[in-house]
Formats: sequence, C-alpha cells, structure tokens
Amino acid sequence: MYKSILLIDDNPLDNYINQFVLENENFCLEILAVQSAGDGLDFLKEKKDPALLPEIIFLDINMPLVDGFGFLEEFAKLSEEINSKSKIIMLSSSLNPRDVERAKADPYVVKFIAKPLTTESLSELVDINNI
Amino acid sequence: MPLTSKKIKTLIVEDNLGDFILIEDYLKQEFVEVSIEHAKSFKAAKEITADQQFDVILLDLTLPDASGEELILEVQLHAGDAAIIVLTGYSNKNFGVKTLSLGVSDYLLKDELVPSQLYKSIVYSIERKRVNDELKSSEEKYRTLFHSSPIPMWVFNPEDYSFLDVNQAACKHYGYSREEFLSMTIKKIRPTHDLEKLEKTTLRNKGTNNYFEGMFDHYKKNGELIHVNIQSNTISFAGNAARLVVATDLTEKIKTQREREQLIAELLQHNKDLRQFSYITSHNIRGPIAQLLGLTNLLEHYKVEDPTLSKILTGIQQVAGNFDETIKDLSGILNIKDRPSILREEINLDILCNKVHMQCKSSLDESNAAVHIDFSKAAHINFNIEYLESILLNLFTNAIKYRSKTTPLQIYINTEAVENKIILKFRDNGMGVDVDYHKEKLFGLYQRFHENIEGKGIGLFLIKTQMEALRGSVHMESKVNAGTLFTLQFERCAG
Repeated sequence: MYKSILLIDDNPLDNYINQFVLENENFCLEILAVQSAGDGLDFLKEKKDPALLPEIIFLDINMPLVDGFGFLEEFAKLSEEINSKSKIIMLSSSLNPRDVERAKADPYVVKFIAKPLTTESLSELVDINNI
Repeated sequence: MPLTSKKIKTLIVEDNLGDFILIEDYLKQEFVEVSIEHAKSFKAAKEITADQQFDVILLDLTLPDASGEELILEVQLHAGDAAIIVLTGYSNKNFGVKTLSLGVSDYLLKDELVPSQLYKSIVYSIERKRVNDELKSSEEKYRTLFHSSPIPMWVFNPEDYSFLDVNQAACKHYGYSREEFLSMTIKKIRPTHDLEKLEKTTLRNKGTNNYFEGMFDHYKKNGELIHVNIQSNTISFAGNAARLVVATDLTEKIKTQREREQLIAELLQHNKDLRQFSYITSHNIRGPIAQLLGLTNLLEHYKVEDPTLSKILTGIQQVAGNFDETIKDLSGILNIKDRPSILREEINLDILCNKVHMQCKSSLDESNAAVHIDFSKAAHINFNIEYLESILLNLFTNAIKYRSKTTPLQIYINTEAVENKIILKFRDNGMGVDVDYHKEKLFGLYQRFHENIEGKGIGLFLIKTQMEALRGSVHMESKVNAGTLFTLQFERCAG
C-alpha cells in the first residue's frame, strides 16, 4: 500500500472516479487531487520533506493551459529529489497512438493507462512491484 | 572545280557571224568538253531553249528582233537554270553594268574579250548561279515555314521596334491585319508599364546572337490581355540584324494551372479541417465516454435490489460499452489513414502465417478445419507487418465465422509472383456471400451480410483500408454456399 498519491486532472468527475477506484482497492493511505498542472507542480515544490512527496502521480493529458506533456517538461526541471521519488502514470482518454508513444518515451512515465481507471488496471500496477 | 571536267552546254545568241566564230574559237580553246549551239535571233533562241537546257547563254545585246533590257527579261523567262552572260559593245558599257541588277550573271565587252576572261566568266557565272539558286530555294523554304507556322511569329527591327514581317498566325491571333502590323511597332502590343522592361531587354539582346525567352503580357487588337511565352533569336532581314520572335499564348494553360493550384489548396485545407475534426472526435468524445464507462463500472460495487433499475443500469453499461467500441474502431481506422509514412519490411510469410494460425488454433480445431498453405512461389512480401498480421487474422476469423454448417472448413492460402506484383489468394469453402447483390457495400464500414452471426462488420473495411494504405488492393469473389476467394495484390518492391 502506498502512502500518498497525487491525481492531476482538470475534470472533477474524473478525479472522483479515480479516487473511488483507488479507495476501493485500498491502494494508498492518502489521495490528493488537483485540477491543473500548475497546482500539481506547486504542490510538489512546497513539500520540503521528501518523505511527504507522493509516490505515484496519475497525470491526465488533456488539460487547458498546460497539458500533461507540459507538466512533464516542467517536472523534469524539478529537483532530483522530487523526480526520483514520484513515479508518473499517464492516465488519458486519448486513443491517439502518438500520445501513447510520446508518453512512454518520457523517462519519468512508468505506464500509460487508458481511462477509465479500473480495478484490473490497478491490479496490474501492484503486480509490477518495481514501481 | 569539277565544272571543267563536265561537259559545258553553251548557247551563243549572236547575229554577227564574225563575233560568233571568235567566241566559238575561244570556247574550244579553253574548255576540254564544250557543246556550242548558235542562235542568230531572239526567236531562234526561244525555239532552241524550248528543247534544250543549257549551262550558260552568251547573249549579244543587239539582235535583229530584240535588244536591251526587254531582250534580257525575255531571255530570262526562257533560260531555265542557265546563267546568262551578256556581251556588249564598247558603246554599251554603262548599260552592261545595269544588266547585272537585272539578274544577269556577268557582262563582257566584246572589244576586249580574251579567252581566259571568257573562261573565268563562264565558270564563275555557272557556279554563282547555282549558289544563288540554292540560296533562293532555301529562302523559299524558310518563307514557307514562317508563313505557314501555326504559332504566331514575327520579325522586328531592334533599332526602332517596328514590325518587319508577320505571319498569318500572328494576324489571326492578335487581330491585326498584316498591313496594320507592318505599320506598328511592337510597343503597341505591350502594356505601357512593360515598355521600360522591353527597352532594356531589346538593348541587351541587340547585336548578339542571343536566344532569349521570357513571359510577357500582350494586348490583342480587341483589348484582350494575354500571357505570352516569347522566344526570340537574331535573324538577318534584308541585310540588317533583326529579331525573330515566336509568341506562344499560354493564357489558357496558366489559367488552368492556377485553377488546379487553387483546387489543391482547397482540398488540402479541407483535409486539414477533416483531420482536425477527427482529432476532436478522438479526444472530446472519448473523454465523456471514458467517464460514462468509469461511472458505470463503479456501479459494480453496489447491489441494486430493484430488478427494473438493475436492468436499466445494465443497459446503460452496455450502451456505454458499445459507444466506446465504435469510437475505438473509428479511431483505429483514422489512425491507419492518417499515418504520413508507414513502415514496410520484408516479411516471411510462413512465419507470420503460422503465428496467426496459432492465434486461431482453438477456433480452427473446434471447427475441424484444415489449412493448406503454399508459399513456394513467393515466400516474402514487402509490407507493414502489423497490417499484414491484422489482415491475415481478419481473413482467418471470417473464414471461421462464416464456415459452412455442413461441410468441414477448408482453407487454402497460396502466393504467386506476377510481373511487378505479389498475389496472395485466400480461399475458403464456407457460406459465401452474394457479392453481386451487396457490391459496393462489401468493403463498407459496419456492413454485415449474415444474420445471427456475431460480428461488427469492420473486418473487410479494415483489410481494404490497410491494403490501400500501402498501394495494394483486395478483391473478393464469392457465391452463396460455394465459399469465398480473397485476392490480395501487393506491390513488389525491388531488393
């Protein structure tokens, strides 16, 4: 079970669904949801204690202003502490294979999951324990 | 000079016997082989030239029945190809010079005649006449070329820009008569803003043998503006340097070209718009669908007691699922068509076909199917491996789905190389389809031809889309209860 997870998705309904599934699976202790890439970055930056950083970040692609890939760019510029601690899982409704390729090519993205998040896709995550 | 070895045929038109004998002697002295005819009057000369052709006619200017300029003109009419050398007396010296302008080859003063001079004059006159005739005929040919050319042509004077000559095509095309053209300068057919450019170009081309080509605007007599391709060269016209111009009107061609470019631009924009639309489809529609699915999934965690409510919720789940499937299909298809360049490679058919065969093994065994494969004639295909695998899988799946209820399924797959194509044939002995009845719908999207058999109706569409994406083609022959034959044509790539 993970300590804390960060959800980044501009749509509150998606955050609700994801939270529901996560809680149902007892995936982690703490879940925080933010609605923009900016908020997500701020959240990470203000955690002085690395122990408080989320182990997993579920990241949406389609967000206004700064999208998922924009977040990844900024994330890479964060301190080594942060980007070694938090693993990113791209969670998107996109069917575009180019999005998938691009996401998988990012060094900080460990997996791409197509929405909706389900218990099955979560169980896959838990199995791959090298996360 | 070969002339002296050839026999020279001469006619001496001379009424004075003494003069004649003298000339005859000189001729026999100077020429190895010469034939000499004698005419004592113009009438006699006329008669004899009617029957015979001469190389040279020596003509005395004062004959009993004709003399002077009139005589020369008359003789010229009957002389044929013969060179005419006029013999004059001392008193006629000035007139002798004049005869040259009448086209006479030479004039000799009888009083000063010496054999060597006579010889030289005859030989030169014959040769000169020959050269002049050739020149004239060559000029004739070019005149004809110029005047009968279907493309407007003209000659102009680069000093004062005046038209020196113009052909019929130019008159017809521009609407000016020949007289009008010859009274104009080429500036008249140019727009005023072009005149400076015209002067610069003409100056540059002057005095050189420059070939020049360029596009210009011209005005016809009726004011119509045309776009003309001008090609010009230096030409000698009446002894002076002039410019010969060929003017090809490209207005229609340019207009067609512009229209085509515009159409292409519109199509490209339209294509861009459609692609944008498909992008929207795959994003904005899929988002809500994913949410719908997500929410209906959450329902799994809650027990619904009310059977009606349960049924309704299950219905909603199914609908969401179908919706998602459709969007995924369409997206998949758009992705095939949208790829700018698709990866090709040499594919080993035995290996790939085996792989697909294994994927369908359980279904094949269930239906007691027998698969006969023969790739001996063409063992490799250059294609995209994912597409080919998908195509083979679709073909197998279809064959299994639509197998005959009564006869065990037989599948035959073989290839052959024909010219620049590889042909793959996939045949089964299943239920078949009435291809004539379904015709265009055959490879259409979401088209199904059998009731009671599961299937979305995108298999054939996918096969067609994938084949055509790499410049291949697929053809289907089938008869109800007599099986189906798919013929796939692949481009054969060298190396």
